[in-house]
This record gives sequence, C-alpha cells and structure tokens, in this order.
Amino acid sequence: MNDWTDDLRQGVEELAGEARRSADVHLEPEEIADYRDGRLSPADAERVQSHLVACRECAALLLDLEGLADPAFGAAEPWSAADADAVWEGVRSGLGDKKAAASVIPFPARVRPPRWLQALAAALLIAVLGLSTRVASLRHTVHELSRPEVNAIVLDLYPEGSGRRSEGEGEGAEVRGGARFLTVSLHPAAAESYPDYEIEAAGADGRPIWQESGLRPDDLGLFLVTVPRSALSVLAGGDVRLRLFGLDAAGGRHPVGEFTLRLGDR
Amino acid sequence: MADEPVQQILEALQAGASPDESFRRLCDLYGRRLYHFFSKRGFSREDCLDLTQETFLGIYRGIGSFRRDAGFETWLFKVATNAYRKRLRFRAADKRAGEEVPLEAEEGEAGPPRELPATTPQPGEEVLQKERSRVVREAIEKLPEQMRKCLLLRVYQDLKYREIAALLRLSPETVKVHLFQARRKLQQELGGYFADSLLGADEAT
Repeated sequence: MNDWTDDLRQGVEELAGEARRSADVHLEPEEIADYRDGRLSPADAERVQSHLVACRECAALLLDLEGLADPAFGAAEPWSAADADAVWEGVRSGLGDKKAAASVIPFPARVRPPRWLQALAAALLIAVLGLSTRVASLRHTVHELSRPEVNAIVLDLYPEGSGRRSEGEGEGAEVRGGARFLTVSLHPAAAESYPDYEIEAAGADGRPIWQESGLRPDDLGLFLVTVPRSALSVLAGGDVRLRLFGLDAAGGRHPVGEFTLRLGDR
Repeated sequence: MADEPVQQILEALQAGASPDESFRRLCDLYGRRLYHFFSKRGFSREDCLDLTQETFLGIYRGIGSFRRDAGFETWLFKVATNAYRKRLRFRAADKRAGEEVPLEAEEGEAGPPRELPATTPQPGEEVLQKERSRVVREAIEKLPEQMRKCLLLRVYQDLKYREIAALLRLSPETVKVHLFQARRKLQQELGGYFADSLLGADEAT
C-alpha cells in the first residue's frame, strides 16, 4: 500500500485550505470574466489566479463561463420544448406583455341608441362617479389607518464614521411589547445612485438574518424600511448591522452604507 | 463580441423590436445552457427553471445598456451568477436561526469535498504521519509557482488538463509539462514514494 499518495493529497488539501481561508470572499463575476479575458493588471490577475486554485466554486464558475459559449453545454440536461415554453411564458409575464396576437375586427356600422338607453347610461355614469368618490374617501381612511401608529418606533440611523449619532446608540432602542413594527430611516452618505436597492440585517457575528429588496430612496435620499413584528423576534438580542446595497443593471451588489441598530429589552 | 445570430437579435431588441420573436430566440439559444449552469450548482429542477427565467428577465431589463463589443455570454454569466448568489443569500436569510450557508455548500461540478480514509493510527504512527505530512508539504511548497498551482488543481480539484489550462491561462501541453516536472521533483524530494497515477500520467485531455 502506498501511503505517500494520501500524504500528498493531505498536503495539497491543507495548502489549499490555508489559501482558501486567507481569501474569505468569493470573486465577483466581473473579476472572473476580466481575468479570463486578460483585462486585469498583473497583480490582480495573480490574486484572482491564486484564489481560483484554492476555491472550487470560483474555479467552477470560470469553467462554466467558458461553457456558456458552447452550444453543447448542458446537452445531457432534461430540457424539452415544454421547458423552453414555460420559461418563455414566465419571461413574458415578467415583461408585462401578455397580449396574444390580435385578429382584425371590422368596426360595426354606427347605430344611434334609443333615448331610454342614453338615459340609463347617464344614470350609470353618475352612479359610478359617486361610487368613485366614496372609494377614494375609503382609500384615504385606509391610508390613514395604515400610517405608523402615533407611538410607533421610528429610528434615524446614520452610517458609522459619519460623525452623527444614530438613535438607540448606547442602551439601545426600546421596542414595546405591543409594537407591530419598527421603522428605520437610513441616512446614507453615498451620493451614487442605483436602479434598485436592498437591505440585509446581520447579527453581531456577521451572519445575515433578514433581508428586503426592492427599496427606493425618498425625495430626501433617505430609505424608510419597516421591519415587521415577525422579523423583530429574529433581530432582537443585541446589535444588528444593517447593510444597504445598491444593485446595478446586472444585479451586482455595491455597498452603500452600514448602520448599527441596537435593540434594548422588549 | 457576440456571434452573428445573437448580434442580430440584440440589435433588433435595442432598436425596439418586439420581444415576442427576437427575445424568444435568445431564450431558445441559451435556455438549456442556463438551466445546466444552475443544475450543476445543486438547484432543484423547479429552481433551475425559475433562475433561468430570472436571468432572462435581468438580461431583457439591461438590454439597453449592453455594449455589443462585449461578449454576450460574459454578460449572461454575470447576470446568472448574481441571480444564483442572490438565491443563496435569500436561503441564508430564510434560515431564521441565523445559521449561515456557505457558498461552498452548493457543490456542483467538483462534487462533495474529498475525504481522506478514516484511520486510527497508533501513537507512534501518528507522530510518523505528522512528520510525513510536514515533509510532503515542504516538498510541494518548494515547487515553482505554476508547477505548484497545476499540482493543486490536479490533486485538490481533480481537474483535467484542459480545465487547468483554462484556469491558469496556459495551454494544455504546458500543463502536462508542469505536472510531469512536478512529479519528477517530488519523486526526487520524497524518494519515489508517491503514485504516478495521482498526477494523471494516464489521463486523456
């Protein structure tokens, strides 16, 4: 039995493991593509290459980048015309283009309706207008009822290093037992704008525990985020780091600001 | 640069053509490849279809800003990778116990991490084993850089020559030479105590 085979494999595993631990974040897809196309500086190319040697996932991504250009990539997958149709229908729904091709319908000849029908139409119009007014009034009421309650918790948070003190610093923001939600108003320092934003909450150990996407800044450039009760139970228990990210057109995440939220006893 | 059929489709879409015909063709061309990309990462069939759809939507939304001198597949790769990582982040956030799911947990092509055979060495053997490990590691670390990288990719990631070549931006022939020389140097250092087959002397590219 040749023991050196196992020793060699173990030695390689240890070296790769050390290299992997020293590079604790994966490569961005842009870096992988730029490395493949030779667009990185020598220093960056060396950094990326060293990471690829130690990281199976990023290495697999680069190999699949090559694969996407190959029409035979995935030839053995159970992909049928029905799958292509299903994906396409999903894409169409997402595009909001649900109209089927319309056939040509000839206009009917113009016919003048009888007077009683005209009177009925006028009465219906008045009824609809009245109903619309009532609905608008009800919507306003619903909007008022939906607004944060008078004693609802709204905290202004500023990014670390901004020199401004966030609410709740020190002993922590107190969340009442009956509070339905907590609203934070984030004041990011960054001026760059993105098509979309998302927020992620991480506990003291840095692990993500809650996330929301589809955020937009208001007219003042602030982000109002409402955290529901169900998530509060997840967030409670010390410092929470809120990380705000801008999303570019390709879905890539770019850090916009980090905020610390401290929850006190409930 | 995008190849010709894709180039024509993209031109038509950027000029405002209806997506029903043009974009559908793009989905037909790349649907299976994208499905395979996600399938290799351990997603269920349903998730693969969902992620494929999400990627195409991301492509369509960004079509106006796509530069035709850039590679379409490169752009597709970026959108697909971001979609895949976003799905993993959502999964991590869904686990409300706060347990992080490392990205390596979604093993694809490389398969599960290789495990060494379980052994229960005697105390004296354990010391001997540690010493051999140290000697082997020193021998590997003494190898020239590219040779060492080829060795790591071959032994740690179990890749073929052409895959190692793609990762290190070398030719497959150069990779073969590096592995051959690495084997020879290790034999000199370790007195011929490791298997030739480990470095793929009989591998087909």
